[in-house]
Amino acid sequence: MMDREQLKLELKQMIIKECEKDLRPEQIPDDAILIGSQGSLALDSLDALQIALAVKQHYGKRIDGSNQTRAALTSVNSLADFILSDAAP
Amino acid sequence: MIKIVSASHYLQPVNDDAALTSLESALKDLCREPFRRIDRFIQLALLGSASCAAGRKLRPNCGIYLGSGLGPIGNNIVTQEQLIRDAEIPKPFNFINTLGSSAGFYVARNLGLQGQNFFISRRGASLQAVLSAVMADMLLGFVTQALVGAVEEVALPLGTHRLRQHLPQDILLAEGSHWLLLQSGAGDSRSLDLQRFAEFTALEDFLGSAWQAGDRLCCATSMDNRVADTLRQGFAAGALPDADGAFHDSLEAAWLAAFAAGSEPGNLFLVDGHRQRGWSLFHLGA
Repeated sequence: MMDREQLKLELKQMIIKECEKDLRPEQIPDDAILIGSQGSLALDSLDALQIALAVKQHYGKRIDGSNQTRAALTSVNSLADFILSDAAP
Repeated sequence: MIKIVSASHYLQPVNDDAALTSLESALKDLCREPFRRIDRFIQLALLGSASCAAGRKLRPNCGIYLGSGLGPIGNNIVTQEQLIRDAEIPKPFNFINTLGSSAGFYVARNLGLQGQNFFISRRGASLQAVLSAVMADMLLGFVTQALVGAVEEVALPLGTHRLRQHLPQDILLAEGSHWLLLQSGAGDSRSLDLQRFAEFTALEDFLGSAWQAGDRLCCATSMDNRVADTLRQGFAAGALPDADGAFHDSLEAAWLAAFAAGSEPGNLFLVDGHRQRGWSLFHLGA
């Protein structure tokens, strides 16, 4: 079983790397909104696609167009929940 | 009349698989904002265009005409490897930047331009292609000011990069970003015009009559060597030396931009063409 705190740190590092943001992991709160102008990271739909592909590559979990999986991209918390969930990849 | 208001010239030879020169620091000084998601090709385009426009207030409708022989080759390789070798969906940033026009988008955004924005890929004649397009547009009045550039990127390893272009393995390769800012109207700066000739003898006759002491001549790299040699022998005193002996696919742009950016007096003539297609003569006035 993956450690949730360790996973969240990995996800923050992955988001920073994939989206080329000039941030440190500790500057991303677990519940910060990731996508959209209301979020402090101000990531857009292209960033969302980039993160979705990286999640598939690293964790084997596919974020598709359904509302349920799209919700995984809300925050680092929701992304960690999605990866740790029992849903089939 | 078309005038060359300013020019910038970046030519960086790449030695034996050494790491490519970092452009980050130069871009930090030249760009209005830090850009994410940009690749090497876009960095080179930003570097050259921003240098050419430095200290000038461009018109918002200034056109952008960017040419390249190989285009964003590094990103293309990464994307092809993801697609074919790894059988994966390519990363969105890589995929989008395989379009040469991505570079034009970032150049426009950096300089605050909203005019027309062209990318033309033409092996061995990218500068001639963009110059032909922009000069037609300027003469027809579609644009009155335009940034015209040619960008070439090197993708490591060098041996593969040479092989990909069918080049000898001992040739020195270079990256380049060469830009001209053109404007319609009068002024003291160098003029730019283009003439076409159906017959080679007509081209030779014209050059013979227009030639003055101190003028320079260059022949496009894609020209037949024997024809180019004939011209070079005829105007030997002005034959332009090659750009530091280094090669990329848009060397004509390197010659023109270096000449326009420098203070050398006289005219520069760039000849391109083929016996069956006819001949083009690009002329940078004194």
